[in-house]
Amino acid sequence: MKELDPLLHSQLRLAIISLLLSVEEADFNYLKEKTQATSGNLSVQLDKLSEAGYIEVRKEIVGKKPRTSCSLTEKGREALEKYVHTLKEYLGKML
Amino acid sequence: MEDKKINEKESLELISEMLRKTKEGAAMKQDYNAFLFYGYTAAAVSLAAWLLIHFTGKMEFMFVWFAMFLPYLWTTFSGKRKKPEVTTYIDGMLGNIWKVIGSMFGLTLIAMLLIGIAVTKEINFSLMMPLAIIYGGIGTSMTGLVIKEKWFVWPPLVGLVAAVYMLMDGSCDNLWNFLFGLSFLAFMAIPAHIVRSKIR
Repeated sequence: MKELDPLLHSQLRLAIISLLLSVEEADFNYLKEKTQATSGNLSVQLDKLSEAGYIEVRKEIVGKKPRTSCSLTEKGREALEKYVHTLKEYLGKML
Repeated sequence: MEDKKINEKESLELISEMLRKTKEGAAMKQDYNAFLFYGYTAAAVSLAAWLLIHFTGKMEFMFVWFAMFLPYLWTTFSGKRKKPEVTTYIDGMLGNIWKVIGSMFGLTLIAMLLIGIAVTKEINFSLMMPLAIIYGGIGTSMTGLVIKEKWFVWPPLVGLVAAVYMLMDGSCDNLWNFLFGLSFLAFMAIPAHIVRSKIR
């Protein structure tokens, strides 16, 4: 049986990827509010996902304030699809 | 939420929960302010134009219609100052629909200007009124189809009837101002109020 992607098999990273799945773009505050994570922890996990190429992080200035926005990449979408497929295989064996 | 390992069942539950959260957020955040803004501006400008022309008899007061660029400028600049926390795929699609409609407005104005200068030797923007009703109606109907909201799909037919009347009538008179404002109220402002009250 295939192994679950270790990058996605973590509560916060999986939540981030799942949130980004159904939106075109979300900013840092939105992700923080929905995941109830701390800013520091969220930043670290966003960096990890970005380094893996699963998400794209854009930093810009909007109305004199810095804004960090994230979107899911094609690689991230495929990784989540594979992850869910493997999860179903696991659960299928257990039942 | 922390960076902790979870089991397989918890993973699937977490994915479902996050998908549900984005769906709920998308439904709640729509306020349709732009529809109210454009609808009421059109109604106010049409009333102003109608009153000015009615009491002075001067058709030159049609220039007040250029005030319709004010809501466009306001939405453009406020959008640059403050971006939404989240943009759904539907938001993106609707944004592109209205970009096309906005471009059609701009290109029609430029075409009328060029034809007026080069061909007819007289610049006449009067056809802009029925065309603006048709363009605005198409945008509103397409918005309704995308978000599956019948109150935005069908009312633009009211505007279409007014626009066809204007095109058949051909002679721009003060009644056109009245029809224009009424059309925008009927297919933008009133449906926006109805849809907002359904959400709340």
